[in-house]
Amino acid sequence: MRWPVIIAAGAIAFLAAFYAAGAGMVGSDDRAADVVGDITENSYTRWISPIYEPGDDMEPILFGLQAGAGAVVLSYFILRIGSMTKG
Amino acid sequence: MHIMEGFLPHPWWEIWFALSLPVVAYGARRIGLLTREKRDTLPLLAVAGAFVFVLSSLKLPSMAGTCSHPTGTGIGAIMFGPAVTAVLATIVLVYQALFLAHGGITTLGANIFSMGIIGPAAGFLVYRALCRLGQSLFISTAIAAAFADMATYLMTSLQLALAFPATTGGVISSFFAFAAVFALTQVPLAIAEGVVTALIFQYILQARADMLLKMNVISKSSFDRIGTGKKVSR
Repeated sequence: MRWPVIIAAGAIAFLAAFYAAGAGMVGSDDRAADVVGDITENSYTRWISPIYEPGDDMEPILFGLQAGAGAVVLSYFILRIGSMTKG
Repeated sequence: MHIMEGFLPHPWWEIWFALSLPVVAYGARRIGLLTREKRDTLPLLAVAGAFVFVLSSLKLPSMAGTCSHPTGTGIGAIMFGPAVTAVLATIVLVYQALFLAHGGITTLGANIFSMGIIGPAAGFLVYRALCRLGQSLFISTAIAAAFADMATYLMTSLQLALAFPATTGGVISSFFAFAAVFALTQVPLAIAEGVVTALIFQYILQARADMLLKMNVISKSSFDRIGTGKKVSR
């Protein structure tokens, strides 16, 4: 099976890009908020703030938790689907 | 593609909730049916859900110093349709709204509508259309997933444009302003997402073509050709 190798390589490339993203990048969500400011000439203020906003130390952990949980489930079921053909 | 908490004024946030919730409810009902009557499809559902989880957690660099997320909804849309994918997207969006301050609870309806409904619907339709036109399953899946990603971000741009029309040029001018941020950033990510989705789908196809046939994701003729090394179309 060559697909698992290709998928693994793709996943590694993705993760490498993910970690390389790092500093200096602004999220497109934040840029959109700036556009709202431009259009409304800064007259719009958000009427409700997030209940919880993670600090710089917690955000990578919580994003990592999402990625990690997803990756564990994904790998488990991808392997399980793969083994089904042999059964 | 997240519209941040508090960034949709009344009545827009309520409107998007009203449009999204029936689809999510229908999707949840369909998942209920799958768990009772088609339990053998559940590993594929888990793959589709986990794929959304992983891809939407990636903050990838794009053009002009901006970073953004893939959506990961293409594979769910292709295998299970938009309504089931809306439920998968909802789970991710709730997590990100509660713990990451990405999106928000009041903007959840709008974010579900773009990422969970319009994106997957676009992916589903593009996949079916390309298969019908005789394209290979790899190409159909890749383009469908890229479209699902792009449609999501274009929908977000439209949602923001409707809520914040420009003084001159109105909604259309606003739409282009938001799309310039979201859609342009997304082009390279959508292409990457298309390729990764097609690779995963190809793996599932090799492992469980029988299941995809049963779920009406591929045609009988495609199923017959798999394993013979010929170009596979639906």
